[in-house]
Amino acid sequence: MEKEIISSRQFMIITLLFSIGTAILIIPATIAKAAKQDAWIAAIIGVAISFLLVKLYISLGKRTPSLTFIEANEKILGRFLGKFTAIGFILLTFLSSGELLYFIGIFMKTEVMPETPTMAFALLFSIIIVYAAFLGIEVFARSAEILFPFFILIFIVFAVCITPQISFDNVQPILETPKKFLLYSIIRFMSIFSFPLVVLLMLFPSVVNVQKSAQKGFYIGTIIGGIVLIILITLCILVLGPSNTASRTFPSYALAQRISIGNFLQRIEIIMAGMWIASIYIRTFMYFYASVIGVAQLCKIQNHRPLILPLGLLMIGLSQIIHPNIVHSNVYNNEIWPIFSAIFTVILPLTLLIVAKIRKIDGNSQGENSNENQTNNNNHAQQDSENNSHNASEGDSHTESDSKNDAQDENKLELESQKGNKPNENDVKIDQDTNDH
Amino acid sequence: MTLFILVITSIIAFAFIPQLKKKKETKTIITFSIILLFATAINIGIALKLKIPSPLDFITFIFSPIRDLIVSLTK
Repeated sequence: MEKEIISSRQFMIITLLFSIGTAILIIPATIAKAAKQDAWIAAIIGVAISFLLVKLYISLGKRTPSLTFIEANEKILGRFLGKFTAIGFILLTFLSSGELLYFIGIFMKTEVMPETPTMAFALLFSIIIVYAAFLGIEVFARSAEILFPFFILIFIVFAVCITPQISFDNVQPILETPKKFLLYSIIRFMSIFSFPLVVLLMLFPSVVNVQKSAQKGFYIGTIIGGIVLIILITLCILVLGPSNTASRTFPSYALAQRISIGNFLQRIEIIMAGMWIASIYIRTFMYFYASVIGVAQLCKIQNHRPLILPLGLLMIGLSQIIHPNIVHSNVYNNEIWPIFSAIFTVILPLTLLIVAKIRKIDGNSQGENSNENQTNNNNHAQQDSENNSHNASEGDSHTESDSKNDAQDENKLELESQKGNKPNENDVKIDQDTNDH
Repeated sequence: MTLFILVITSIIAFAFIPQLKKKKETKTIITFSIILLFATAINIGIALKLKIPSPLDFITFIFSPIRDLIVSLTK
Protein backbone atom coordinates (compact mmCIF):
# COMPACT_ATOMS: atom_id res chain seq x y z
CA MET A 1 0.00 0.00 0.00
CA GLU A 2 1.35 3.41 -0.92
CA LYS A 3 1.98 5.91 1.82
CA GLU A 4 -0.41 8.83 2.00
CA ILE A 5 0.90 12.27 2.76
CA ILE A 6 -0.95 15.44 3.75
CA SER A 7 0.50 18.92 3.88
CA SER A 8 0.92 20.83 7.09
CA ARG A 9 -1.70 23.40 6.10
CA GLN A 10 -4.25 20.63 5.61
CA PHE A 11 -3.21 19.25 8.97
CA MET A 12 -3.86 22.63 10.56
CA ILE A 13 -7.35 22.77 9.06
CA ILE A 14 -8.11 19.25 10.23
CA THR A 15 -6.92 20.18 13.73
CA LEU A 16 -9.10 23.26 13.72
CA LEU A 17 -12.29 21.58 12.57
CA PHE A 18 -11.61 18.48 14.66
CA SER A 19 -11.19 20.46 17.87
CA ILE A 20 -14.42 22.35 17.17
CA GLY A 21 -16.26 19.15 16.27
CA THR A 22 -19.25 18.39 18.44
CA ALA A 23 -18.10 20.94 20.98
CA ILE A 24 -19.77 23.69 18.96
CA LEU A 25 -23.17 22.06 19.42
CA ILE A 26 -23.26 20.81 22.97
CA ILE A 27 -20.53 22.56 24.90
CA PRO A 28 -22.33 25.82 25.77
CA ALA A 29 -24.93 23.77 27.64
CA THR A 30 -22.48 21.61 29.57
CA ILE A 31 -20.22 24.49 30.48
CA ALA A 32 -23.03 26.85 31.48
CA LYS A 33 -24.59 24.23 33.72
CA ALA A 34 -21.72 24.40 36.18
CA ALA A 35 -20.11 27.79 35.64
CA LYS A 36 -23.30 29.84 34.95
CA GLN A 37 -22.45 33.33 33.67
CA ASP A 38 -18.71 32.75 34.08
CA ALA A 39 -18.67 30.08 31.39
CA TRP A 40 -16.61 32.26 29.09
CA ILE A 41 -13.87 32.56 31.73
CA ALA A 42 -13.82 28.79 32.08
CA ALA A 43 -13.54 28.47 28.29
CA ILE A 44 -10.59 30.86 28.11
CA ILE A 45 -8.75 29.01 30.89
CA GLY A 46 -9.57 25.69 29.23
CA VAL A 47 -8.10 26.81 25.90
CA ALA A 48 -4.98 28.06 27.67
CA ILE A 49 -4.45 24.75 29.45
CA SER A 50 -5.05 22.90 26.19
CA PHE A 51 -1.74 24.24 24.94
CA LEU A 52 0.10 22.16 27.50
CA LEU A 53 -1.73 19.09 26.22
CA VAL A 54 -0.82 19.93 22.62
CA LYS A 55 2.78 20.32 23.73
CA LEU A 56 2.60 16.89 25.34
CA TYR A 57 1.21 15.33 22.16
CA ILE A 58 3.82 16.99 19.97
CA SER A 59 6.70 15.90 22.16
CA LEU A 60 5.31 12.35 22.16
CA GLY A 61 4.92 12.52 18.38
CA LYS A 62 8.54 13.64 17.99
CA ARG A 63 9.73 10.54 19.83
CA THR A 64 8.22 8.26 17.21
CA PRO A 65 8.37 10.23 13.98
CA SER A 66 7.33 7.46 11.61
CA LEU A 67 4.77 5.61 13.71
CA THR A 68 1.12 6.19 14.49
CA PHE A 69 -0.14 6.31 18.05
CA ILE A 70 -1.10 2.62 18.05
CA GLU A 71 2.32 1.54 16.79
CA ALA A 72 3.99 3.87 19.26
CA ASN A 73 2.07 2.17 22.05
CA GLU A 74 3.43 -1.20 21.07
CA LYS A 75 6.93 0.08 20.51
CA ILE A 76 7.20 1.96 23.77
CA LEU A 77 5.24 -0.20 26.18
CA GLY A 78 6.22 -3.53 24.68
CA ARG A 79 4.13 -6.10 22.91
CA PHE A 80 1.63 -7.25 25.51
CA LEU A 81 1.00 -4.08 27.47
CA GLY A 82 1.06 -2.00 24.32
CA LYS A 83 -1.64 -4.15 22.73
CA PHE A 84 -3.73 -3.77 25.86
CA THR A 85 -3.60 0.03 25.86
CA ALA A 86 -4.09 0.11 22.09
CA ILE A 87 -7.31 -1.89 22.47
CA GLY A 88 -8.50 0.63 25.05
CA PHE A 89 -7.69 3.49 22.72
CA ILE A 90 -9.51 1.88 19.79
CA LEU A 91 -12.50 1.28 22.04
CA LEU A 92 -12.49 4.97 22.94
CA THR A 93 -12.32 6.17 19.34
CA PHE A 94 -14.82 3.67 18.02
CA LEU A 95 -17.41 4.29 20.73
CA SER A 96 -16.99 8.00 20.14
CA SER A 97 -17.57 7.63 16.42
CA GLY A 98 -20.80 5.77 17.16
CA GLU A 99 -21.74 8.43 19.65
CA LEU A 100 -21.20 11.24 17.16
CA LEU A 101 -23.47 9.46 14.70
CA TYR A 102 -26.03 9.34 17.48
CA PHE A 103 -25.54 13.08 18.02
CA ILE A 104 -26.08 14.01 14.40
CA GLY A 105 -29.19 11.81 14.35
CA ILE A 106 -30.67 13.21 17.53
CA PHE A 107 -29.85 16.78 16.50
CA MET A 108 -31.63 16.43 13.17
CA LYS A 109 -34.52 14.59 14.79
CA THR A 110 -35.18 17.03 17.62
CA GLU A 111 -34.51 20.28 15.79
CA VAL A 112 -34.99 19.89 12.07
CA MET A 113 -36.96 16.82 10.95
CA PRO A 114 -38.92 15.51 13.94
CA GLU A 115 -40.63 12.59 12.21
CA THR A 116 -37.65 10.98 10.55
CA PRO A 117 -36.05 8.14 12.51
CA THR A 118 -32.46 8.70 13.65
CA MET A 119 -31.43 5.59 11.72
CA ALA A 120 -31.97 7.47 8.44
CA PHE A 121 -29.55 10.24 9.38
CA ALA A 122 -27.03 7.81 10.80
CA LEU A 123 -27.16 5.73 7.62
CA LEU A 124 -26.75 8.69 5.26
CA PHE A 125 -24.01 10.27 7.33
CA SER A 126 -22.09 7.05 7.71
CA ILE A 127 -22.19 6.46 3.95
CA ILE A 128 -20.23 9.71 3.51
CA ILE A 129 -17.78 8.71 6.21
CA VAL A 130 -17.25 5.20 4.86
CA TYR A 131 -16.77 6.61 1.38
CA ALA A 132 -14.25 9.13 2.66
CA ALA A 133 -12.42 6.37 4.51
CA PHE A 134 -12.24 4.36 1.29
CA LEU A 135 -10.74 7.27 -0.61
CA GLY A 136 -8.12 7.77 2.06
CA ILE A 137 -6.71 10.54 4.15
CA GLU A 138 -5.43 12.68 1.26
CA VAL A 139 -8.85 13.10 -0.28
CA PHE A 140 -10.31 13.75 3.14
CA ALA A 141 -7.73 16.45 3.83
CA ARG A 142 -8.61 18.15 0.55
CA SER A 143 -12.32 18.01 1.40
CA ALA A 144 -11.52 19.61 4.75
CA GLU A 145 -9.69 22.33 2.88
CA ILE A 146 -12.79 22.97 0.78
CA LEU A 147 -15.09 23.02 3.81
CA PHE A 148 -12.89 25.37 5.80
CA PRO A 149 -13.63 28.71 4.05
CA PHE A 150 -17.37 27.99 4.15
CA PHE A 151 -17.12 27.22 7.81
CA ILE A 152 -15.32 30.46 8.62
CA LEU A 153 -17.67 32.48 6.39
CA ILE A 154 -20.79 31.05 8.02
CA PHE A 155 -19.29 31.57 11.45
CA ILE A 156 -18.50 35.23 10.80
CA VAL A 157 -21.99 35.85 9.37
CA PHE A 158 -23.44 34.07 12.38
CA ALA A 159 -21.43 36.09 14.90
CA VAL A 160 -22.18 39.41 13.19
CA CYS A 161 -25.90 38.76 12.77
CA ILE A 162 -26.43 37.87 16.42
CA THR A 163 -24.66 40.95 17.87
CA PRO A 164 -27.78 43.20 17.93
CA GLN A 165 -29.37 40.80 20.45
CA ILE A 166 -26.55 41.02 22.99
CA SER A 167 -27.43 42.21 26.46
CA PHE A 168 -24.58 42.62 28.91
CA ASP A 169 -26.82 42.11 31.93
CA ASN A 170 -26.52 38.40 31.32
CA VAL A 171 -22.82 38.15 32.23
CA GLN A 172 -23.13 40.07 35.47
CA PRO A 173 -22.09 39.37 38.19
CA ILE A 174 -18.66 38.36 36.96
CA LEU A 175 -16.54 35.83 38.92
CA GLU A 176 -19.32 34.85 41.29
CA THR A 177 -19.01 31.10 40.63
CA PRO A 178 -17.28 28.98 43.30
CA LYS A 179 -13.88 27.60 42.28
CA LYS A 180 -15.11 24.02 42.44
CA PHE A 181 -17.74 24.53 39.75
CA LEU A 182 -15.31 26.51 37.64
CA LEU A 183 -12.89 23.56 37.82
CA TYR A 184 -15.62 21.11 36.83
CA SER A 185 -16.63 23.17 33.84
CA ILE A 186 -13.02 23.61 32.73
CA ILE A 187 -12.51 19.85 32.84
CA ARG A 188 -15.74 19.22 30.94
CA PHE A 189 -14.79 21.82 28.36
CA MET A 190 -11.35 20.31 27.88
CA SER A 191 -12.65 16.78 27.75
CA ILE A 192 -14.65 17.66 24.65
CA PHE A 193 -12.35 20.27 23.15
CA SER A 194 -8.78 19.19 23.66
CA PHE A 195 -8.57 15.68 25.13
CA PRO A 196 -9.61 14.06 21.83
CA LEU A 197 -6.78 15.86 20.02
CA VAL A 198 -4.74 12.75 20.82
CA VAL A 199 -6.55 11.09 17.91
CA LEU A 200 -4.57 13.40 15.63
CA LEU A 201 -1.44 11.55 16.70
CA MET A 202 -2.64 8.92 14.26
CA LEU A 203 -1.78 11.51 11.59
CA PHE A 204 0.68 13.89 13.10
CA PRO A 205 4.15 12.50 12.88
CA SER A 206 3.73 9.83 10.25
CA VAL A 207 1.62 11.17 7.39
CA VAL A 208 2.37 14.90 7.56
CA ASN A 209 4.55 16.42 4.89
CA VAL A 210 6.67 18.94 6.79
CA GLN A 211 6.81 18.17 10.45
CA LYS A 212 8.25 21.45 11.65
CA SER A 213 5.43 23.56 10.27
CA ALA A 214 2.90 20.89 11.17
CA GLN A 215 3.79 21.47 14.82
CA LYS A 216 3.01 25.13 14.32
CA GLY A 217 -0.19 24.06 12.56
CA PHE A 218 -1.15 21.97 15.58
CA TYR A 219 -0.89 25.04 17.82
CA ILE A 220 -2.57 27.42 15.37
CA GLY A 221 -5.42 25.01 14.70
CA THR A 222 -6.01 24.59 18.41
CA ILE A 223 -5.99 28.30 19.12
CA ILE A 224 -8.35 29.20 16.24
CA GLY A 225 -10.68 26.38 17.28
CA GLY A 226 -10.48 27.65 20.84
CA ILE A 227 -11.27 31.21 19.80
CA VAL A 228 -14.29 30.04 17.78
CA LEU A 229 -15.60 28.16 20.81
CA ILE A 230 -14.92 31.04 23.20
CA ILE A 231 -16.81 33.44 20.92
CA LEU A 232 -19.67 30.99 20.61
CA ILE A 233 -19.94 30.36 24.36
CA THR A 234 -19.76 34.08 25.10
CA LEU A 235 -22.49 34.81 22.55
CA CYS A 236 -24.69 32.08 24.03
CA ILE A 237 -24.30 33.56 27.49
CA LEU A 238 -24.79 37.12 26.27
CA VAL A 239 -27.86 36.45 24.17
CA LEU A 240 -29.66 33.51 25.75
CA GLY A 241 -28.58 34.04 29.35
CA PRO A 242 -26.88 31.40 31.51
CA SER A 243 -29.92 29.47 32.72
CA ASN A 244 -31.50 29.32 29.29
CA THR A 245 -28.23 28.15 27.77
CA ALA A 246 -27.85 25.43 30.39
CA SER A 247 -31.34 24.06 29.89
CA ARG A 248 -31.08 23.69 26.11
CA THR A 249 -29.73 20.54 24.53
CA PHE A 250 -28.31 22.39 21.52
CA PRO A 251 -27.86 26.00 22.65
CA SER A 252 -26.03 27.22 19.56
CA TYR A 253 -28.98 26.17 17.41
CA ALA A 254 -31.32 28.10 19.69
CA LEU A 255 -28.92 31.00 19.32
CA ALA A 256 -29.15 30.84 15.55
CA GLN A 257 -32.94 30.88 15.80
CA ARG A 258 -32.73 34.24 17.57
CA ILE A 259 -31.15 35.89 14.53
CA SER A 260 -33.50 38.60 13.31
CA ILE A 261 -32.32 41.64 11.43
CA GLY A 262 -35.03 44.22 10.80
CA ASN A 263 -37.74 41.54 11.09
CA PHE A 264 -36.61 40.52 7.65
CA LEU A 265 -33.58 38.24 7.87
CA GLN A 266 -34.99 35.47 10.06
CA ARG A 267 -34.99 31.71 10.51
CA ILE A 268 -31.65 31.14 8.85
CA GLU A 269 -30.61 28.61 11.48
CA ILE A 270 -30.47 25.70 9.08
CA ILE A 271 -27.75 27.47 7.08
CA MET A 272 -25.91 27.85 10.36
CA ALA A 273 -26.44 24.16 10.98
CA GLY A 274 -24.27 23.55 7.91
CA MET A 275 -21.38 24.81 10.00
CA TRP A 276 -21.63 22.17 12.68
CA ILE A 277 -22.54 19.40 10.29
CA ALA A 278 -19.23 20.12 8.56
CA SER A 279 -17.26 20.06 11.80
CA ILE A 280 -19.02 16.92 13.07
CA TYR A 281 -18.20 15.25 9.76
CA ILE A 282 -14.50 15.98 10.26
CA ARG A 283 -14.58 14.70 13.80
CA THR A 284 -16.57 11.55 13.10
CA PHE A 285 -14.30 10.73 10.20
CA MET A 286 -11.18 11.15 12.31
CA TYR A 287 -12.55 8.87 15.04
CA PHE A 288 -13.64 6.29 12.49
CA TYR A 289 -10.40 6.46 10.54
CA ALA A 290 -8.38 6.16 13.74
CA SER A 291 -10.28 3.05 14.74
CA VAL A 292 -9.98 1.46 11.27
CA ILE A 293 -6.24 2.10 11.11
CA GLY A 294 -5.97 1.07 14.75
CA VAL A 295 -7.66 -2.29 14.20
CA ALA A 296 -5.53 -2.91 11.10
CA GLN A 297 -2.30 -2.12 12.90
CA LEU A 298 -3.31 -4.05 15.98
CA CYS A 299 -3.88 -7.20 13.93
CA LYS A 300 -0.83 -6.43 11.76
CA ILE A 301 -2.89 -6.20 8.56
CA GLN A 302 -1.16 -4.43 5.68
CA ASN A 303 -4.22 -3.13 3.86
CA HIS A 304 -6.87 -1.53 6.04
CA ARG A 305 -9.46 -1.06 3.27
CA PRO A 306 -11.34 -4.38 3.66
CA LEU A 307 -12.05 -3.50 7.31
CA ILE A 308 -13.84 -0.26 6.50
CA LEU A 309 -17.24 -1.66 5.49
CA PRO A 310 -17.70 -4.07 8.43
CA LEU A 311 -16.63 -1.39 10.89
CA GLY A 312 -18.97 1.08 9.21
CA LEU A 313 -21.83 -1.35 9.56
CA LEU A 314 -20.92 -1.83 13.21
CA MET A 315 -20.79 1.94 13.70
CA ILE A 316 -24.34 2.34 12.36
CA GLY A 317 -25.53 -0.34 14.76
CA LEU A 318 -23.64 1.26 17.60
CA SER A 319 -25.20 4.66 16.96
CA GLN A 320 -28.64 3.15 17.56
CA ILE A 321 -27.88 1.43 20.85
CA ILE A 322 -25.27 3.71 22.36
CA HIS A 323 -27.68 6.03 24.18
CA PRO A 324 -31.27 4.95 24.84
CA ASN A 325 -32.23 8.57 25.56
CA ILE A 326 -30.82 12.07 25.89
CA VAL A 327 -30.57 11.91 29.69
CA HIS A 328 -28.29 8.90 29.42
CA SER A 329 -26.13 10.84 26.98
CA ASN A 330 -25.97 13.92 29.21
CA VAL A 331 -24.99 11.91 32.27
CA TYR A 332 -22.35 10.05 30.28
CA ASN A 333 -20.89 13.17 28.70
CA ASN A 334 -20.73 15.16 31.90
CA GLU A 335 -19.60 12.54 34.35
CA ILE A 336 -18.06 9.48 32.74
CA TRP A 337 -16.55 10.75 29.48
CA PRO A 338 -14.08 13.18 31.14
CA ILE A 339 -12.65 10.35 33.27
CA PHE A 340 -12.75 7.73 30.53
CA SER A 341 -11.09 9.98 27.98
CA ALA A 342 -8.58 11.44 30.45
CA ILE A 343 -7.18 7.98 31.08
CA PHE A 344 -6.44 7.36 27.41
CA THR A 345 -5.70 10.90 26.30
CA VAL A 346 -3.77 12.46 29.17
CA ILE A 347 -2.43 9.73 31.40
CA LEU A 348 -1.56 7.29 28.61
CA PRO A 349 0.48 9.78 26.50
CA LEU A 350 2.18 11.01 29.66
CA THR A 351 3.10 7.44 30.60
CA LEU A 352 4.29 6.79 27.07
CA LEU A 353 6.49 9.87 27.15
CA ILE A 354 8.02 8.95 30.50
CA VAL A 355 8.60 5.33 29.47
CA ALA A 356 10.07 6.45 26.14
CA LYS A 357 12.44 8.69 28.04
CA ILE A 358 13.51 5.89 30.34
CA ARG A 359 13.90 3.41 27.48
CA LYS A 360 15.66 6.09 25.40
CA ILE A 361 13.38 5.76 22.40
CA ASP A 362 14.14 9.01 20.69
CA GLY A 363 13.33 8.42 17.04
CA ASN A 364 17.02 7.70 16.40
CA SER A 365 16.56 3.98 16.75
CA GLN A 366 14.60 3.69 13.52
CA GLY A 367 16.48 1.27 11.32
CA GLU A 368 15.19 2.34 7.94
CA ASN A 369 16.40 5.90 8.23
CA SER A 370 20.07 4.98 8.30
CA ASN A 371 20.10 4.17 4.58
CA GLU A 372 19.23 7.70 3.64
CA ASN A 373 22.18 9.36 5.31
CA GLN A 374 24.05 9.70 2.04
CA THR A 375 21.20 11.23 0.06
CA ASN A 376 20.38 13.45 2.96
CA ASN A 377 23.04 16.06 2.32
CA ASN A 378 21.92 16.48 -1.26
CA ASN A 379 18.40 17.17 -0.21
CA HIS A 380 19.52 19.68 2.35
CA ALA A 381 19.84 22.61 0.01
CA GLN A 382 16.62 21.89 -1.83
CA GLN A 383 14.58 21.72 1.26
CA ASP A 384 14.25 25.36 2.10
CA SER A 385 12.74 26.05 -1.26
CA GLU A 386 10.59 22.96 -1.02
CA ASN A 387 9.26 24.04 2.33
CA ASN A 388 7.89 27.16 0.75
CA SER A 389 6.33 25.45 -2.21
CA HIS A 390 5.20 22.19 -0.66
CA ASN A 391 1.55 23.13 -0.90
CA ALA A 392 1.75 23.43 -4.61
CA SER A 393 3.53 20.17 -5.19
CA GLU A 394 1.81 17.92 -2.68
CA GLY A 395 -0.70 15.40 -3.87
CA ASP A 396 0.69 15.34 -7.38
CA SER A 397 3.89 13.58 -6.54
CA HIS A 398 3.56 10.72 -4.10
CA THR A 399 7.03 9.36 -4.28
CA GLU A 400 8.69 12.73 -4.23
CA SER A 401 6.90 13.89 -1.13
CA ASP A 402 7.48 10.52 0.44
CA SER A 403 11.22 10.76 0.14
CA LYS A 404 11.00 14.40 1.18
CA ASN A 405 9.26 13.40 4.35
CA ASP A 406 11.84 10.81 5.23
CA ALA A 407 14.66 13.18 4.52
CA GLN A 408 13.10 15.78 6.71
CA ASP A 409 12.69 13.33 9.52
CA GLU A 410 16.35 12.66 9.24
CA ASN A 411 17.24 16.33 9.26
CA LYS A 412 15.15 16.96 12.29
CA LEU A 413 16.78 14.10 14.12
CA GLU A 414 20.18 15.45 13.25
CA LEU A 415 19.25 18.81 14.58
CA GLU A 416 17.97 17.25 17.75
CA SER A 417 21.11 15.26 18.30
CA GLN A 418 23.18 18.38 17.72
CA LYS A 419 21.29 20.23 20.34
CA GLY A 420 22.01 17.42 22.72
CA ASN A 421 20.21 17.71 25.98
CA LYS A 422 18.10 20.68 25.13
CA PRO A 423 14.91 18.88 24.00
CA ASN A 424 15.10 16.61 27.00
CA GLU A 425 15.04 19.54 29.35
CA ASN A 426 11.95 20.79 27.63
CA ASP A 427 10.29 17.44 28.06
CA VAL A 428 11.01 17.40 31.77
CA LYS A 429 9.45 20.80 32.03
CA ILE A 430 6.34 19.58 30.26
CA ASP A 431 6.07 16.63 32.54
CA GLN A 432 6.18 18.86 35.55
CA ASP A 433 3.69 21.28 34.06
CA THR A 434 1.16 18.65 33.24
CA ASN A 435 1.56 17.02 36.61
CA ASP A 436 0.78 20.31 38.27
CA HIS A 437 -2.57 20.35 36.58
CA MET B 1 -35.58 -5.55 7.32
CA THR B 2 -33.66 -8.56 8.62
CA LEU B 3 -33.49 -9.90 5.07
CA PHE B 4 -32.21 -6.54 3.84
CA ILE B 5 -29.38 -6.56 6.39
CA LEU B 6 -28.47 -10.12 5.47
CA VAL B 7 -28.37 -9.17 1.79
CA ILE B 8 -26.07 -6.23 2.51
CA THR B 9 -23.82 -8.42 4.65
CA SER B 10 -23.54 -11.07 1.97
CA ILE B 11 -22.79 -8.44 -0.68
CA ILE B 12 -19.97 -7.07 1.47
CA ALA B 13 -18.68 -10.57 2.15
CA PHE B 14 -18.76 -11.65 -1.50
CA ALA B 15 -17.13 -8.42 -2.61
CA PHE B 16 -14.10 -8.80 -0.37
CA ILE B 17 -13.47 -12.40 0.65
CA PRO B 18 -12.61 -13.85 -2.83
CA GLN B 19 -10.09 -11.05 -3.41
CA LEU B 20 -8.49 -11.62 -0.05
CA LYS B 21 -8.41 -15.36 -0.59
CA LYS B 22 -6.50 -14.85 -3.82
CA LYS B 23 -3.90 -12.82 -1.96
CA LYS B 24 -3.90 -15.43 0.87
CA GLU B 25 -4.42 -12.89 3.62
CA THR B 26 -5.89 -15.26 6.18
CA LYS B 27 -5.47 -12.85 9.07
CA THR B 28 -7.46 -10.18 7.25
CA ILE B 29 -10.22 -12.65 6.39
CA ILE B 30 -10.57 -13.73 10.03
CA THR B 31 -10.69 -10.16 11.37
CA PHE B 32 -13.02 -9.10 8.57
CA SER B 33 -15.44 -11.97 9.21
CA ILE B 34 -15.50 -11.52 12.99
CA ILE B 35 -16.30 -7.81 12.73
CA LEU B 36 -18.84 -8.40 9.95
CA LEU B 37 -20.67 -11.12 11.89
CA PHE B 38 -20.74 -8.97 15.00
CA ALA B 39 -22.06 -5.97 13.06
CA THR B 40 -24.74 -8.07 11.38
CA ALA B 41 -25.85 -9.51 14.71
CA ILE B 42 -26.20 -6.06 16.25
CA ASN B 43 -28.04 -4.64 13.25
CA ILE B 44 -30.47 -7.57 13.14
CA GLY B 45 -31.03 -7.11 16.87
CA ILE B 46 -31.91 -3.46 16.25
CA ALA B 47 -34.21 -4.38 13.36
CA LEU B 48 -36.06 -6.89 15.57
CA LYS B 49 -36.29 -4.21 18.32
CA LEU B 50 -34.46 -6.37 20.87
CA LYS B 51 -33.18 -4.68 23.99
CA ILE B 52 -29.42 -4.51 23.54
CA PRO B 53 -27.55 -2.96 26.48
CA SER B 54 -25.43 0.03 25.58
CA PRO B 55 -21.67 -0.62 25.69
CA LEU B 56 -21.38 2.65 27.55
CA ASP B 57 -23.22 1.12 30.50
CA PHE B 58 -20.26 -1.16 30.97
CA ILE B 59 -17.85 1.77 30.83
CA THR B 60 -20.06 3.69 33.24
CA PHE B 61 -19.93 0.70 35.57
CA ILE B 62 -16.12 0.66 35.45
CA PHE B 63 -15.57 4.36 35.91
CA SER B 64 -18.31 5.34 38.37
CA PRO B 65 -16.18 4.43 41.44
CA ILE B 66 -13.49 6.83 40.19
CA ARG B 67 -16.12 9.50 39.64
CA ASP B 68 -17.44 9.05 43.17
CA LEU B 69 -13.90 9.30 44.51
CA ILE B 70 -13.24 12.54 42.62
CA VAL B 71 -16.57 14.01 43.71
CA SER B 72 -15.87 13.16 47.34
CA LEU B 73 -12.35 14.63 47.10
CA THR B 74 -13.50 17.97 45.76
CA LYS B 75 -16.23 18.42 48.32
